[in-house]
Amino acid sequence: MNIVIDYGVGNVGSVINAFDRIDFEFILSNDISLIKKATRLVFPGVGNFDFAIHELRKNRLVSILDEKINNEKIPTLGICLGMHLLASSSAESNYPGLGFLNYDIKRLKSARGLSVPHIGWDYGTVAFENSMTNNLKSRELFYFSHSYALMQAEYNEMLLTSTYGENFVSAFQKGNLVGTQFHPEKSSAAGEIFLQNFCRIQT
Amino acid sequence: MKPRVIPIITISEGRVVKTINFRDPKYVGDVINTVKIFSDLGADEIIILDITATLGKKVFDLRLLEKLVRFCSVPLGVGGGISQSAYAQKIISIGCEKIVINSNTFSNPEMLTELSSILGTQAIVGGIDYIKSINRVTSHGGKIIRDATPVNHGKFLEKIGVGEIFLNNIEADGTRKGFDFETPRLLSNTVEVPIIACGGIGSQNDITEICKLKSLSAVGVGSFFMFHEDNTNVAIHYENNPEL
Repeated sequence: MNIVIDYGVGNVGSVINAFDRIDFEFILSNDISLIKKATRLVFPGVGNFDFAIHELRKNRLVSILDEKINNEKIPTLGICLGMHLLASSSAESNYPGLGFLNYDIKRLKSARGLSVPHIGWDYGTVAFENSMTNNLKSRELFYFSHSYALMQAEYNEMLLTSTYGENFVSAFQKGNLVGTQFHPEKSSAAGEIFLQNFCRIQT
Repeated sequence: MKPRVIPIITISEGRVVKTINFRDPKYVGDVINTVKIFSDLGADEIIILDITATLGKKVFDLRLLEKLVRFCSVPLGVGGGISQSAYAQKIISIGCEKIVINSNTFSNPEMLTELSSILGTQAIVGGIDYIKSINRVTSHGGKIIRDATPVNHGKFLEKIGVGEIFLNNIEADGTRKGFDFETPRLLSNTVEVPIIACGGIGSQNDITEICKLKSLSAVGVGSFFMFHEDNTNVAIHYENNPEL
């Protein structure tokens, strides 16, 4: 069962519709008994860190997520805020993240001529090839909408990188954890390729 | 970064219409069909606004929205009559990336602050409909002239938590001439958030010229993408700006 985690916010309809377009069925849920049966998880984006992390804790999802992600190691995709939630912390919040990914999320610096949030189509450049970058060109345009980002990761974890004033990680993979700073669900063809690659990760 | 070229779809009573100077809405076509065409043509983003919702004390029709998001594979912003936080959250969860709020930035600024703390600032677009000749901002589809300039109101919007500002020049709306270069530039000198400027685009060349401006992160296009050159016959089309 493929599940999009429901934390009360997020453009979940867009995410489910995008998977639907590539013929994968995902359901939206915050029900522990359903999440127990999950074979693939998605943490959607669009939302505020505090609000989302509070919802996850309020619905007592942290221990089941830990079981699925750290012990069962099912493929898990975090999109934008969803990726930030997987990290140890974010500059957006005083509350800690889920800590499945041992990194801190930083705020984009607002440099001259660069507005924050970073909104729009920008390049992601392939930095480390693996099955998640299959069928992607070395540079692809993706849709971004964010003020915070993961700035650095290990070489073999950074699948795609981007630049907005400074470099940041636009897609990473660490074992069963995949994260994107862009919104693959709204990135037309390149986004669909990325989602397909995620759905093809063997469990 | 590539500036976005955004078709602005204005609707009333569930149909796509296009105004001139925010008046005389003229029927263009079916909403779902129009959204699908722009999405299939690879629009950078789409903004859809119910222009009579606030005046008619109505809200954007969620059933219509549920239908059209299925045909939209690009980012979608929705506006019109959004006066309740729960309703805005519903719009996002149905499958939109942004909500556009204009009149309620005056009557209910607290709602925008609350929404940005729930949905994140990047999902909240503050709309500014302005009259350039008198340097004033309006609300309720241009019907109420407010005691604020676009720059002042833009600063206020940023302060209450919007992540983007949608500037609409009423005097240029639907005219296909007279894009205002000055107001977006002045505003971009005062705020940090991205600006979408709209009103008066008449040609692909206009779009290219505007996209060269460093101060703008997006341009909104209505009539030019809706009609043939004569501005009467409907001919929906879309072209991206060239890579910069």
